[in-house]
Amino acid sequence: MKDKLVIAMPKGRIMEEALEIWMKAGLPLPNDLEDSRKLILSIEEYNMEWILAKPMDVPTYVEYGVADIGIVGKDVLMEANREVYELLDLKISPCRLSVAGPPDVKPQQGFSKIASKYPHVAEKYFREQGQQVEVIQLHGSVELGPIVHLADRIVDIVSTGRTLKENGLVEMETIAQITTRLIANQVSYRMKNERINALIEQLSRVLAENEG
Amino acid sequence: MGKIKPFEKPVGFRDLLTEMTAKKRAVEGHLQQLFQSWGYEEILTPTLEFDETIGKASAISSGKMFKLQDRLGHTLVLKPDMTAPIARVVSSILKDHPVPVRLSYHTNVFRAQENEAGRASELYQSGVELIGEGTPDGDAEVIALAIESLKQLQLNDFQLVVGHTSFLYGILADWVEEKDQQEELISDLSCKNMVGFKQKIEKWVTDREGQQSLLTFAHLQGDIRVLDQAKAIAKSERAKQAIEDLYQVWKLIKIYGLESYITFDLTLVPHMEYYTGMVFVGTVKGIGFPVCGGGRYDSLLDAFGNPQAAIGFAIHLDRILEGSKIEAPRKRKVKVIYDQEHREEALHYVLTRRNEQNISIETQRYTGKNVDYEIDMVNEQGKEIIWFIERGESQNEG
Repeated sequence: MKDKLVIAMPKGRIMEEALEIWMKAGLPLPNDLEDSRKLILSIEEYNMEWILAKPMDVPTYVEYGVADIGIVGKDVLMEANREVYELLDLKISPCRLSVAGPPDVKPQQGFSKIASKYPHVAEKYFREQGQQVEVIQLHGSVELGPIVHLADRIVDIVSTGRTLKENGLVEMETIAQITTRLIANQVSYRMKNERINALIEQLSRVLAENEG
Repeated sequence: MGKIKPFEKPVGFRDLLTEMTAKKRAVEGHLQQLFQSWGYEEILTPTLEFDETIGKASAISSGKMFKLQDRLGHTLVLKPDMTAPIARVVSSILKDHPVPVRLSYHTNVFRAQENEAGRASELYQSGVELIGEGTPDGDAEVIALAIESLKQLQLNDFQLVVGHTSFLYGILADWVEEKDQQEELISDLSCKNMVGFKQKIEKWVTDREGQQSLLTFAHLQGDIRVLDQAKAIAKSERAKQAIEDLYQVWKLIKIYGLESYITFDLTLVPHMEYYTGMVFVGTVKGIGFPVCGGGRYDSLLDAFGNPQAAIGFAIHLDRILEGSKIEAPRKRKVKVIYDQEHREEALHYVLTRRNEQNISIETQRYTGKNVDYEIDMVNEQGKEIIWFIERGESQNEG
């Protein structure tokens, strides 16, 4: 009896896109995928289990090894700063982690205020730029920050830039290019190496086809 | 920050209750017995060291150390690992001791944790250091002892993954000149970001052979066959020598009969920067973090003016205590309850019985209020109760 492979999936948009690649690779889906109340789905015949988690929590489940592998955005990985192996770029949900603000925002003399869902990334970025800022953590609708004068600028993910535009903000600097990654627990990567590598190979094949 | 409540402890510090403490002692006992049988003698070093010396020599980053000041204004650190203090001891007090020196330890080490409130800042480690033995035989001895230790601990399936920093740095230096680029590649390898690694190789390495070599290198994980592949792409003497060493180590491990526990990963990046040769980590099925790590650190002793080859490993006890099937030796638990009239008789009885092997006897003065209550309570704890009181009935009940 082989060991069960546990996968942390991020509930939401990324998961939908990941599932397309997953299905193209001929990998099995759980029967009760449509049952939205379930948090754990199992695929008995493949000895696999899915944990449906909040995207921000995926690296945590994987770092502690309760999930062997996980699917998660690079933005979350950068913010969570967990000790996990980053095995594959699934190249889905591409976007940028950027600094944005009102077009007329002036470089501040003293303390600039930055609103963000990614306080660690923001803090690190500005520190490395030699800028002193105060980072204010918000949990959503970060664009509100500059509008209500809570902050001068924001750090957030930008894909089409439409949301920014609608709120009168412009993208100023790109911190990082973001795509979705397959991550693994460092011990599972060793102990379940064959299964994980087989999975990566199957997924890579689809990715190569998509590109070609 | 509110007022500290009376029961609070500093973040990351915890009490180890009786059961775990007994288990920890048993585990350390088993390990020390094993270390001893391989010629490793136990040593203790101070909890506080100078930041100037141990703090600097240690591979733990300065920000992760607990610091305080002594009365003269020197900065002190709570010992962040055991390797640097042992290097200090071997380079000073034991300087004239004939090499190789074999030392073992069971200690707590301290790391300030930034990430998470609940993570332990005080860690328990057991390990060994072998100083003055620069041969592959020394490498193999320490690997073999690490495997025997994990066997001893009665854990689930485990594995030791072996790499070599000279090969790792050697092959990168063969094809990538820029120090910064080398560091970025190392950082990709340390989180197994093979995609990032390959992209950078394709961008930075223009030489066709170099690209091929490094792309092959990225896959050098698996059984003994990866050494053959590694040999084929090794260019510099440094990289070639590393592979020769690993072949030797493999041969020796086979003599020890432990080859089934070993796999190779030549892309393995150790957590500690001071490693200079063979490195390894141990993983156990079902435990999310590596349970042991070690390797060769031939240049660390330079920092103490005593250039010597050195190699060692540490087992992270915190991570295995729960999973280990080792049990603290079972004790027969007895409780003697006596009243004033039988006090002398009871205490004499207790003193005699305390000479027995594996016994734990406690006494309690009977006050007349707590008999029935005691029967229930102590029985639950699996204790035999012996009465020394006047009750008109038989004296021994329980």
